[in-house]
Amino acid sequence: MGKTKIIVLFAILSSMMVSAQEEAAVEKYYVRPGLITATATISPSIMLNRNQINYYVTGFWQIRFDKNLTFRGEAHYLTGGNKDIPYFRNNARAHFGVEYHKSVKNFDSYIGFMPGFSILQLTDDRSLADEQMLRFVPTFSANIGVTYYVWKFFNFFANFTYLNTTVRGVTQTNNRADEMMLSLGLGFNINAKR
Amino acid sequence: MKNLCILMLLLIPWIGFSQPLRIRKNQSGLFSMGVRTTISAFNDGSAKNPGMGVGGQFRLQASNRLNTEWFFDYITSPIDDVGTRVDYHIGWSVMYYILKNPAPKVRPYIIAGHCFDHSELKETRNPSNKMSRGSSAVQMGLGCHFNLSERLDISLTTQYMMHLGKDIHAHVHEDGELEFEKHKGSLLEGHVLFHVGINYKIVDLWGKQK
Repeated sequence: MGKTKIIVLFAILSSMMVSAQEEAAVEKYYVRPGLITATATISPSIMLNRNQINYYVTGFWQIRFDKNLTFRGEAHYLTGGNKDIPYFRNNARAHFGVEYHKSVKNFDSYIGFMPGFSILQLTDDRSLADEQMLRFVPTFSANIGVTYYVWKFFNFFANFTYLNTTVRGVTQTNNRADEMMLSLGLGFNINAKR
Repeated sequence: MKNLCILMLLLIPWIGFSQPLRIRKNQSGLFSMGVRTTISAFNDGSAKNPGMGVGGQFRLQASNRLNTEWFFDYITSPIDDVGTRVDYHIGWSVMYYILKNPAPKVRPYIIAGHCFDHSELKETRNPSNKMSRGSSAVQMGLGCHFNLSERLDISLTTQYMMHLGKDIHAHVHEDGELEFEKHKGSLLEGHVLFHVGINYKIVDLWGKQK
């Protein structure tokens, strides 16, 4: 084998090594467009207009469609609270919106806004008719959070959500039912684009 | 885990949206969808309480500077502490972009349109005391897109909606009695609406899809 051939072969192999390193770098950083995240957890929430804590089963999914933007959908289902006579008898909530992200390697922080609605029943509803009526209540939420992607399938997250809810058609003077919710735990992620 | 996998599979088609937006010649034919929160600043009658609502819209663009918006809103407002007003709006608007640049970061527009609406007023303690009407309305205002990416914008809009049919409103008397009134003929009756919307451009319907 001539000296020239050896040099050419070495040059080709060198370029492949660089390519392999680039691929490894892409694999190492999971935060990029195409990332799908989903999880479910139990989230406590503090009611801001009354002295009460609620517990929700919370599920959310996120799809990163741009370098810094994701769609996010959330669903909350009330499982209980710390009061014998809670404000909400039942509450199921769904929100959909968008998040703006800032990421450093696999550490991701975000802030977002989500319009949504609640389907709820009150416990202490003193309305003379339809005592326990099911109500459709427009709501919105704003959230802020961080996620650390530890592997291509798992992440750890912490999220604060402000939930704005005003219940209409009740005889109580204070019909605000805003909540501040904390969610944290283990999330699942998969990258649908290489 | 099985359910999670199914959810992930269902979400995968959305990733197609992360492709660069292909448009043919201009923005004519751009189809987008979104959700929005609406604040109704006041209502007519003695109880002028603000309300809040949720809704959605899709947009189909006619040219670089002309867009159409098709929307639905569900708005609830209190009548002091004694009743509730619910408004349903379904309609369409035309948006005229003030700037020539088709893709600036901030894009202000004039908006005007028409909608059909249904309003229900109900007393809380006595739900049989209620009144409703269906009518149409016209709305006009100003707004602004904040383009966060090529496909996504957050839109803030302020508009005055004027109902053209019979006017209904509530009066709360000093003794707490709630009275509903209906007037024939169209008066300058309506509300100021603020919308915060999130909108995503899905496809150029007139463009060639490869």
